[in-house]
Amino acid sequence: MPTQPTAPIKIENSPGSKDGVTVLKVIGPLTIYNFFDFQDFTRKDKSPILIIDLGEVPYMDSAALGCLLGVHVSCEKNQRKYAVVNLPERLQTMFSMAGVSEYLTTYPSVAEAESALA
Amino acid sequence: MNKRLLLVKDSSEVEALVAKIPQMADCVVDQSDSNLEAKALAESASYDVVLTGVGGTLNEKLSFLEASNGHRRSRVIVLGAEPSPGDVTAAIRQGAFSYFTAPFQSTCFQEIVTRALETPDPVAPIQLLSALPNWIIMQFAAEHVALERVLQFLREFHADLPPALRDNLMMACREVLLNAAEHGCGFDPAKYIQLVYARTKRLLLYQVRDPGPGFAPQSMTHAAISNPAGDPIRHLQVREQQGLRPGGFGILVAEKIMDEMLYNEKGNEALLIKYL
Repeated sequence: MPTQPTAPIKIENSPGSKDGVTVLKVIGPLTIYNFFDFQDFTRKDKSPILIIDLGEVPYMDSAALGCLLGVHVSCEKNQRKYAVVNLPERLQTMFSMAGVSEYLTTYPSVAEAESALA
Repeated sequence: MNKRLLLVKDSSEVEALVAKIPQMADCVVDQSDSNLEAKALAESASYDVVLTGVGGTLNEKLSFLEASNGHRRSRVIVLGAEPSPGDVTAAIRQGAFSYFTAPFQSTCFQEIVTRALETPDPVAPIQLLSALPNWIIMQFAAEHVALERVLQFLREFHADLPPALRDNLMMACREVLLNAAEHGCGFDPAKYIQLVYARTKRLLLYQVRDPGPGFAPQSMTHAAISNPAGDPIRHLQVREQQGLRPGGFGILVAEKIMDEMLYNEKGNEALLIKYL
């Protein structure tokens, strides 16, 4: 693992508007240098529904994408629900190129994810 | 001790971007109306980072790189109004920390300014082995800051391309360079990666070489390129079993973006081609 300074990233954790929903808002590029913070959050969270807002993630790399798919695998295994929302076009392109667009549960917004999952 | 940044105040866009950088809260920011006025300030005080004006000549901007009055050399981020590959190569060769042409890509800009402020000395140099605008060779240490700086310089050489294409090309280059830094060099700053970027009328070519042992594509069960059709995340299980960090999509994504991608026999040198 790299030991250089981590790129700036902010993770905001807040309850959703419905019971059992946690909204995780990630701000900043999500990369090999900082995805462990994100991974820690997602692993510690035990709420029935986790909504990950990536609207302010301008780009992510392969390591971060793998981490996001780890959330998908973990939620399936533990019968929890999750959604990735507010996907910028650049991330959509990456998901498509990696062939995982259909695997990830995505919605345009937090509100739509809550309506569908809660 | 607070960091000191010198900003030549000739662009409201730059001022707005700088103001949004969280680290600015702990930073002393001095402003000046022109490169020449700023140069005088830089000779009287030591600045960690200098953001040049968008306007003015390249010589004015690069003059901040000259040692002055025994102060520690500043990290100079050169700003320009129009794409100019020749100016970018001059900036690299003279040791500029980074280079940006308007309109500024906010994320990259803010990240590079943050890195310039926070990276401890010494900043690993980027060697420019060929400086022809259509044939660039950069050699740099296998560490994060050097890699991000190289990617930004490379982005500037693509400033005339459509933004979506440029973003995709940078995404592919980022993945291949990260593979070289991580798997080829173990992020050891004493090891060096070489990037060749060549451009003809019809194609863009990138060659990435690392000093590592290389790899055999058929042994890459931990990478997404080895997944069977219809199961794009099979390799994640392999990675977990092998105790590897999440990921493994880099080569696949780069292959999708480029028109051709191949490796040398040893597997420590990648050639990426995009037709225009």
